[in-house]
Amino acid sequence: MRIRGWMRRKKALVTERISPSAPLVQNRMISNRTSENIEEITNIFTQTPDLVIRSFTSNYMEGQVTLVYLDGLVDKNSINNNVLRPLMDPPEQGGTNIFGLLSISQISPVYDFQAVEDKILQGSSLLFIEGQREAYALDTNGWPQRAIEDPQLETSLKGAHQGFVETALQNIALIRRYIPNRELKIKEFWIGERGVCKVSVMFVEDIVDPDMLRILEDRISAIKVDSVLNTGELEEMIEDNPYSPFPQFYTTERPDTAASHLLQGRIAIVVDRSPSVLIAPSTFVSFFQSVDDYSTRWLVSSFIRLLRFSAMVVATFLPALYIALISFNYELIPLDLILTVGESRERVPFPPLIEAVMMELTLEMLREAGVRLPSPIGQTVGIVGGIVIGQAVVQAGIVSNVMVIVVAFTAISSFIFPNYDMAAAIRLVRFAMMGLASMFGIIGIIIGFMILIGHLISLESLGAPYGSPFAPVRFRDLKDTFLRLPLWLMKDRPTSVLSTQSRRQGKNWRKEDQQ
Amino acid sequence: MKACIRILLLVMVTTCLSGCMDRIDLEDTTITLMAGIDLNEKNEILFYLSSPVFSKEAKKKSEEFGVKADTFREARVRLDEVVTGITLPGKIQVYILGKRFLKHPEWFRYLDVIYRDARLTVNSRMVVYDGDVHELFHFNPKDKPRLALHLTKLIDTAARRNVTVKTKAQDLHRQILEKGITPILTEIKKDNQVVKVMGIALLSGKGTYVKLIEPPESTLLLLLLDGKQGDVAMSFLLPEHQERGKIIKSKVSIVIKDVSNKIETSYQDGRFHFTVRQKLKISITERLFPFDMEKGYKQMEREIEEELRKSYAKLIEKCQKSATDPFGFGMHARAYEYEEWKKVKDNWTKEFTKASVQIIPEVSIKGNGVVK
Repeated sequence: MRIRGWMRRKKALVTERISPSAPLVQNRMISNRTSENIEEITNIFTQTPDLVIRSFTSNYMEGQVTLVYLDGLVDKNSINNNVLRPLMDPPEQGGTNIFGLLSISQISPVYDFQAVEDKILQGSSLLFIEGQREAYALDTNGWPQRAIEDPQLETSLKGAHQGFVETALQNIALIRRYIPNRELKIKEFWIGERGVCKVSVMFVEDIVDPDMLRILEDRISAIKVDSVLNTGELEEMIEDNPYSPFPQFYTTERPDTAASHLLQGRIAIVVDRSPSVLIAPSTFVSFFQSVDDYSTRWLVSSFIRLLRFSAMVVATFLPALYIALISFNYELIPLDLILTVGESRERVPFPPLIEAVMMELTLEMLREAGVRLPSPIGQTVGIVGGIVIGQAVVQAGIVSNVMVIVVAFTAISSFIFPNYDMAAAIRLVRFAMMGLASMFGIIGIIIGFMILIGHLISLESLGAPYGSPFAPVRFRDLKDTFLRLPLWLMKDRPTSVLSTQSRRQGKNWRKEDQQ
Repeated sequence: MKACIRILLLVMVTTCLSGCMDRIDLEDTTITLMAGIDLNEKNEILFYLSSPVFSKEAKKKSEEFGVKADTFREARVRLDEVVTGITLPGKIQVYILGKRFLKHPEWFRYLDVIYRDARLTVNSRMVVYDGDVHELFHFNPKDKPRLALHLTKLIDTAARRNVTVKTKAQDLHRQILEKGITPILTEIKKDNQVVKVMGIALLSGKGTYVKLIEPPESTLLLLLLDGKQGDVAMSFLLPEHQERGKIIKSKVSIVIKDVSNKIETSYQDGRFHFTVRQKLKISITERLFPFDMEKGYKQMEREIEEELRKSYAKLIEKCQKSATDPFGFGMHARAYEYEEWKKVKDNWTKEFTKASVQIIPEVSIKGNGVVK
């Protein structure tokens, strides 16, 4: 039923679409006269100053040869050395045809102008030869791209220092380096009517659940949009519950994380032009795991796991608890604290909710400002924020001391999560909790907590339960949740993934497990 | 549409919740930290409260008021007429009960609200005040924090030293209703600009005030009642070692490391017999006379046992004379001699005066300090 509702939404999306992309009015075949072909191309690409049409007479070929490409999308070196030079100055013992002559890895013949258009736009260069009814698309792609750098959002201390870049091919290669196995398969999809984008779905075929893969394929192929610019856009179009604040797919910019999930039986979706990879299905717990957890000692990483989960509780409930205690349930504050709180609250002219919302909003603004500003100016924000939040507000009597401490605690707690999407979701939930607490006190927090739990366990990611291994309870999977038990105890793949091989490969498990 | 109906339902259900009604912000409250009840010469009940003042403009840190009323609740209404905020009883730390009030036979009924209203805490300390409660509430020593906090800490630490007992409201309720034990409370007194813990107040089976047990007897009482809790230190005068013509007294001080009480109960010759074998592991912390411990530690044990036995005998006699059983021997009688207990359970305290109680301390010295 959920799937059907989802399909219906997608259908609505399709019918609302106003104009389809404009295909060529007449898809003409390539003529054997180069001049006609050039005329056709200039008709297709009007007002395209970066289109280069280079005609010359080859020593090798009879008649005119024309090379067409988009400047900037091709690798100039490759064109000069591997295409133009052999054609203009053919070696004495050259090949007998164009495939033998050009030292280009991929050469594919094309026959009509639709294909010519597509190939040129994707960065190939097209070679027309007088008298031939086919053109050759040469793989000379070489657009501007970034070098591989440390990941920005998911930094790690002991993990690899390679992050994904904006070219899908490179990203796939980065992942393949971790899983050099023929079972690592890729399915390609072309999404977008105008800005076509290549989406590669990667999976390890003999462990992935075929049904899950099919659902994902159906959803991706149902997308009909102008263009997909980023992984986040794709995520929003294929997720199970678009109204939830919680991310249902894990987005990573680390190839090692992606490889680890692939090996667990999950699916990685690489979107061209986007430096992050989508992992599906995901569970709530997976957003609290980081690659570093597996490369540090298990006691240490278990401790850090506990820190993260307690930080989640603090970041979600602490301001709400403050409001509830001040407004309703003062009996729960210890005696010495109640006097301190009372003294600092006495001067504050606002009710606790306004006080808390004001401070939390200031914090969020500071954080957002820090993200968007260039780093030299970003420091100024920190100083201003530090003075405003730390001292002046309290001295002016607008906010109580205790509130400042609460804000500081929640801020620190919300920065500890390894995943940005989850951190953002928790920040949002916090405000809802504050509202509930200001209306109903502790009871309100409990209600909010129950709604939250109910929501989390009803979520699904590609049809797999989001709350696993807590709801449904999967005892075997609990090894990698609040605690990270030693790796040699985790001999099974996570149950929630429904992988077809539940046992991980290898024989290095304990003796009694061997057969 | 379905979602709309769901949201509407949710809103309807949540607005029915009782939450919004009892919302009071902390700064609008007058949190009562100490409450007092007293009886004046005209037999009128007086209620007092003391609560902290948070305002920086105020010179005093707490406010105190007293009103005449018939019940606690009436008093609260009357008090709301004078205090700044709304009086809240959830944080009351200490109830001060005037000694005169405790002599009034039905006094416990006045405390009904403490147990009936769940908003009041049953963890408050119950304290007897020897004197006019009025003068305690208006006592503002300069070198002490707010009086309520000072008293709270004073009682807690005194109880830790086993000088007095810490009876919470819940304990008092049990002690009053239990037939086999008589209630005991902390007793304090204002003495020359200081509030002083006097010891343990013995109440009769009906709850009226009977007698004060002062330290060190109060410590013995607590040892018998709870075994060892907190620090127990005692000093004894051993007359055998007194050197003639010297001012220095032959005293020895001990700390008790461990106590176990074994109570044997029997009924013979028309009265109850209780024999308590009390095993004490002690350590000597101070000795003011020369003594060869290596040879004579058995002798020392016996001398301390003798002193303890004498003090216990005095204490028991005192309690029996005043017809109180703060040790809870009645509960042992019920457990081991139920047939006989059934006959006397409604006037146990009277029966207890006839009972024979023997305390046999068995001391073993486990430490002698770090010098010879």
